[in-house]
Amino acid sequence: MKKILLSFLAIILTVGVVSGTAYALFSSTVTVSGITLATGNANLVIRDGNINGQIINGYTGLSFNKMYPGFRDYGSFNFQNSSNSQIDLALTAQLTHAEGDWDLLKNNIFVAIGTGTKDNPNFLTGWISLSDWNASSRSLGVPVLAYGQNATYNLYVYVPADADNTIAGKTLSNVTFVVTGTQVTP
Amino acid sequence: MLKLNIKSIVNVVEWLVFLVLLFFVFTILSPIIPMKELPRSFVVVSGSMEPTIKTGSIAFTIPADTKTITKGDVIAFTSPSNPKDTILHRVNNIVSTSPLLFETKGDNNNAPDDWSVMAVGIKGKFVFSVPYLGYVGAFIKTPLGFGLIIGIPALLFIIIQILNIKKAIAEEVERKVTQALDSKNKSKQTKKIKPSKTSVKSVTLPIILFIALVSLSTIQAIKASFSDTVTVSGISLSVADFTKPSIPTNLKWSNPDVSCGGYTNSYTITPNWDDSFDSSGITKYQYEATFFKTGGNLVWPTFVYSSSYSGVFNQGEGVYSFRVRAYDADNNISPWSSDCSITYDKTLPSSIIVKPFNSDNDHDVTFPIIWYWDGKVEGTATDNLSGIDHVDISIYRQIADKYWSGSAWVNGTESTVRVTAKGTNNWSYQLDPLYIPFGKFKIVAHAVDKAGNVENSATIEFENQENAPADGMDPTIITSLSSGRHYYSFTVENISDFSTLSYSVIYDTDSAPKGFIGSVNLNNQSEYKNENILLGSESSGGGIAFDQNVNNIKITVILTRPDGTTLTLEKTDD
Repeated sequence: MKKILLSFLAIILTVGVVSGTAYALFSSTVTVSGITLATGNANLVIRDGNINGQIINGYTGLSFNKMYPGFRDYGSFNFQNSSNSQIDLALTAQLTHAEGDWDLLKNNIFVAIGTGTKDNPNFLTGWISLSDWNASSRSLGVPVLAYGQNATYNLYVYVPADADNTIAGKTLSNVTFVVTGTQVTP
Repeated sequence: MLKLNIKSIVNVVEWLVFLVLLFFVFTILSPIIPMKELPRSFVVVSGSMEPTIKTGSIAFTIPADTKTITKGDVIAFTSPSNPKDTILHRVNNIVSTSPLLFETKGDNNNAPDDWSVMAVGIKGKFVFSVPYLGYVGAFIKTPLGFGLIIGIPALLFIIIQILNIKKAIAEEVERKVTQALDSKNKSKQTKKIKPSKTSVKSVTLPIILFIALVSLSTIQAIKASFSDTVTVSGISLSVADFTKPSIPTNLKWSNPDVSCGGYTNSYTITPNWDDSFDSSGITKYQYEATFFKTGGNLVWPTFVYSSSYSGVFNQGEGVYSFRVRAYDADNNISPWSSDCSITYDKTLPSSIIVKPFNSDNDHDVTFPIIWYWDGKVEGTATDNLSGIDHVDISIYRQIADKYWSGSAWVNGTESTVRVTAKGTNNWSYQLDPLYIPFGKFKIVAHAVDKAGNVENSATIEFENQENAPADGMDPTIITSLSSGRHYYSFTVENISDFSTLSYSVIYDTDSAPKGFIGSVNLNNQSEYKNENILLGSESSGGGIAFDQNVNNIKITVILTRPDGTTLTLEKTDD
């Protein structure tokens, strides 16, 4: 009799565990996150100008010359998520280096990153001073750069119309942003 | 005996497997058990920690005091960018100790993570991992995997259990039947039905195994997050020089130096100014000159590349004005400077001496005689453009070959010893009368206009006949009268140039005018003194009587020079 009871108990437990698990895994109303096992590595590359541009070592050569109060322009470069597995990347950027009249220009030149065109931009960040770009890393917003995706990003530069004469004739060279792509999981 | 030993070993193994499975289930379920002190397990779903921790591994962590975590430790932590994610990365650096912040990096990443991990976010320190076990969990989550790994074994297990039940029922029935027969045939010995053995482990072990497998499917994933960095470099930002250069200042004329609004007779004079300032540098100036003329001014602009310009007066005499503005390298233009004018006058002025006599009439007579020149020179001067600035004159005394310096007769030349007259268009000069000798003089007037032009057309020559004493002092009469007005004396001083002196003293009385006369020869003496002329006295009875009211005493002295010329002096005492 004990044996019968034990077997019944085992059947009930087994059915309960299996059916409960099956319900949890495959029900449309109760969700247990799936596990995607991703091998490989992330790889973020930068291309010159657009998605068909050459992969470059990061040197864009973007040059904004003869700026003046009220100046606004942009330059383009292209990021590609060349990760060798299904890895989506969220991008952040931080200004890490600049040479020249930094103290005079850091609070008088504003940079935004976005997509779109000069006249119809789609900003992924707000207008952020060079000083603030340098102070901390800034998210390049959403959407993320999906696995395999090419996206052209624009670096918009703006000089406030009320900038004073102290910036006249000043220059920054070799301005460098470090862009980090961090894996984003679903 | 051997059979007993084998059974015991199987039993021990069975228990060991049972305990391991229990531990396994307990560990796998630990994340959902609310006790922080327990070990935890995670499925590693990505490979940024490879090769240390392979994708598909199950990683086990233990709680750790964050103060003991050092660089190189692999830690599990809540993702700073997404609190729902747990990350397993290696401590790359301890950014700060207060607050405690860690920089992390995946072994397979080429750059540190773009965050700092706070101590509170750390879930544990990595201990070890079991490779590939995570794949089982992942496979279970698929319908096929679930069916193969859980579904079919579970079904088999259930079938076995059903068979066991069936068998147990049969055994039970048989056992009951046997028991009934035994009670009826107590004397007969019946065959004992021995029930088959079943243990609790044999039932619970598969169940625990199912639970373990199911738990694998629900185990929390840990993300050994991938990241990559690129630099966006070579960006240059250059602000144009949008500021205007400063306005050129200090406009002036040089070579020779003349201030704005001044005059010049120099064709080589050049306008110049102080350089403007600009941060990008001045590249050129726009120079604009205006020549004011009747009927319309002439204006000509040009660019110059220094702060001066030459060749201004190409339109001849007149008033010129210039202004400039500066250009910088970015073509910013300063406002115009203020105007700076100048009058170019190269025509000599003219002058006439009108006293002692008119120079225009001094062409026919050589050295006309002036009987007594009082030392005054007067004249007029005119200029067509800039106007008379002043008039210089030279006074030359021929007999001594000296020029008048303004305070003495000195050696020199006509061009080097001059005095300046008072006035411009009407001018005059007064030679100190005490220094006016007799003899021949030549006076030349030089009118100087404001542009610096000097003329020398007005010249007179004359001879002064009545000269001043050689000692330079005028003869002077000094008189003295007693209180009763009867004792009168006089002295004539400074008479060394004279040879004779004659005098007359005339005065009034109550009765009639009376007087004295006298004359003396002088022998180069400097003064003559006559004492106590008795006025108004009459002889009366051997004594002297005096007139009352002696007054209007007038003395006249005539001094005669050796050449016969005379000088008359007069003085009256009321």
